[in-house]
Amino acid sequence: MMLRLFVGFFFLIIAFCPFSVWGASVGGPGDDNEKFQAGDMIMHHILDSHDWHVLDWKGHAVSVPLPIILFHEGKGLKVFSSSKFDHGHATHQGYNLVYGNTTSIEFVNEDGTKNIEETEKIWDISITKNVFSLILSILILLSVFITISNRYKKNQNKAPTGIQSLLEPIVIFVRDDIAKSAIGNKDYKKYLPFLLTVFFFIFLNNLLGLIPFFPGGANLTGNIAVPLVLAAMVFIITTLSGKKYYWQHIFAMPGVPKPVLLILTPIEIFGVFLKPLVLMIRLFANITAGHIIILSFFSMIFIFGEMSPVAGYGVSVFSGLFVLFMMTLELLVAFLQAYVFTLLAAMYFGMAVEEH
Amino acid sequence: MDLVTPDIGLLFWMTTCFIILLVLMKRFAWGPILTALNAREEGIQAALDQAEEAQKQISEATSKVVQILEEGKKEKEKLIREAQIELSEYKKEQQNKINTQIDAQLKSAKDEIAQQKRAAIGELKNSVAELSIEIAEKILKKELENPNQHNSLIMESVEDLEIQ
Repeated sequence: MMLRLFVGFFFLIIAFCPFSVWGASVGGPGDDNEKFQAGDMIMHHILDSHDWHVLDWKGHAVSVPLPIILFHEGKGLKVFSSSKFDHGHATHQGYNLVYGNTTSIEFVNEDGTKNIEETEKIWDISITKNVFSLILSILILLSVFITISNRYKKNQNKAPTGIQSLLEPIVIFVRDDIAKSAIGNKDYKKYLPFLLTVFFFIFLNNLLGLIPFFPGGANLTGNIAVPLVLAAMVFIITTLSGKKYYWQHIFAMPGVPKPVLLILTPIEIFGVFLKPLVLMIRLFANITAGHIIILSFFSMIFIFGEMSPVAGYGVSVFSGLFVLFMMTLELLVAFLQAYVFTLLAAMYFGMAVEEH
Repeated sequence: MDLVTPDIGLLFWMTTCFIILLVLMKRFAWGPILTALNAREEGIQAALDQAEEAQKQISEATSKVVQILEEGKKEKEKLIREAQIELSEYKKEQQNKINTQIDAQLKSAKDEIAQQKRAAIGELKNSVAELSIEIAEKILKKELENPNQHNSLIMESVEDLEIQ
């Protein structure tokens, strides 16, 4: 328990310190004449945005327009395309797209100043880059696995073929080595659909995040909201399936003297919340860190290129090699993080249903 | 701090979409897949069990065959042994029969020999008696002056001649 606490704090420190430095160093929307800002570029790539910037062509941004969905209290639901904003150059129905590290939508007055009161009433549920990627990954997962499941129905008791034989070992791996071993033979079946879904969701989105061009490259699993929802689900399931033994170990650890319980019980209660928090931060930090490292190596090319074109070309060779190395490593991390998240979730479920 | 501030829109979509994904996957993907996997594993297990059972039956049959062969061998040996015993008994019997015949023949031969011997002895006694009478006549003719003395002498010599 104490070890896990330390690990938790360690991750908290790791997660917050360097990234808040990143956040602080990033300025406003970059002018075209400004020098190359590695921090801006990286933050822009790993955060969300309301349109999908594909490339710059002759000074103009080429991007895939995405639907903007706003729920404005008092004004109702507004749905329109992000192309109406013309990359932040135009307002639409009084809404303006503000470019920062991430894009945000604000309500402006007639004179073009921000109307803070009205902006606070906007619930922005637009299909952003990450939401688009989320829906895409869900469609991929559904189509792949429903195809496979139909093949299982059709070829019952036959050897798997094609994509079925590619994914079957992973399904069995999750079932036997994660669910069965962590939860136990009695209860694992109840949690298996959730664990499998979480595993393949994280794994696929980690991989999609590594594809450098549209429609990949969104940092979905590295966006705090996604691990947050997943970890919250793990927390809810763990808490709801907690049996007597689980709660007893939190509130009154058997065999521990009363005075020690005064210290131990708060720590255990804290641990209940810390466990999913750590789960969230681990996934978020690992994937985001991978993206930042790869983008940093690319940034080096441009930083050196601004000093002299020769240096840029020279560095590009080494940057390319490092990026290749990192990409390979990230392939491993993509699997590993999906595995670790699923395994830890399974272990928490296992602790909750443990009986003696 | 944009990095660690969850966006409300993404939170909303993630929660909604993930729950939908979970429900659809559970209903249409994991259910059939896991059922099929279980069915297949059980099928494989059953096939393995059957193979093992068949193997067991084969080995049982083999051991039965071996047993039958062994019994046959024993039976054969027993028969041979019995035949040998019978043969040797028969031989002994025959031998005994022959022996008794020989004994009987030998005995009858001996009897005949003894009879012949007795007859010969009887003949010899007669001859001796005649011879003695002749001798006595000669002596009588020669020594008639003392007839008593000579008579007793003749009787003694006749008795001495008798053969046991």
